[in-house]
Amino acid sequence: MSPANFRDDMDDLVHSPVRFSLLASLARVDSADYQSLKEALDVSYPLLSKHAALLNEAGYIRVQKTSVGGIGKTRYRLTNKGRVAFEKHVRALERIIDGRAFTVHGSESPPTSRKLETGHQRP
Amino acid sequence: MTPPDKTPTSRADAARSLAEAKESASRLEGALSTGEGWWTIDSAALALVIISGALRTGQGVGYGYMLVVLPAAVILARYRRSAERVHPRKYQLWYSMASVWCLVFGVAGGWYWLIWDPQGPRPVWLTCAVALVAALPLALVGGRLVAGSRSR
Repeated sequence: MSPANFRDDMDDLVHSPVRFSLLASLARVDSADYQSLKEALDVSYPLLSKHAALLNEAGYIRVQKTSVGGIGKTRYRLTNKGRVAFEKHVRALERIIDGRAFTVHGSESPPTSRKLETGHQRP
Repeated sequence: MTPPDKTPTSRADAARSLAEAKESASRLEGALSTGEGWWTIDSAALALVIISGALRTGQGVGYGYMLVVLPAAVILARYRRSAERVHPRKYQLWYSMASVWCLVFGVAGGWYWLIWDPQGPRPVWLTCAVALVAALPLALVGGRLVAGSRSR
């Protein structure tokens, strides 16, 4: 398989570092609040809002806004569509790391495995 | 054929991307709320008091008692909501099931006593045992949050 095939498996929407980290984080939990997510990703509020809005528009995450005692609270949850897209992207990245995406002279040695837990058992 | 170092996503990029995402995910997993866990345990304790009290006194007195204690349940729920942070996987499912279990067990237990034994004596140990069975799952859900937040 050529590198182009692996690139095809990669989702442009997921590929951004912030969005990829956001999806990876949400894949490991049930749901998370805005503040915790901001601290875990170590990004600014506007940046998190911007990337979360893009993922929400694509249907990859679900944003739930509530008010508790007059204080607004926002929670994020990964959707099934988002989980599928994320897992597909992770698999493509892992194939690249394993060297299976590159067939040029077979010069590179197999790297160490860096599996990212997606929260789902793969078949 | 495109050489490895010319591809848009090189091995190093991919490895760095995965490592960063893994680190963020680990940080988020550790952001469980001890407060939310304790408020959930408090809710379970309150449910225990309400159900055991209602079963013991029975009928009108029991339901009147329930109405008095109910505002406390609402206040606890609000505190719990305000302390919410990260929920571990399947948390919402377990929390909903525990709440429904508590409600159904409490109501069903109360109904059974009203129908089959309206005036009979109700031993404290029995009503407490029924209330404990009703509230225990909710306490366990809260305990899971507390334990999770302390172990990280």
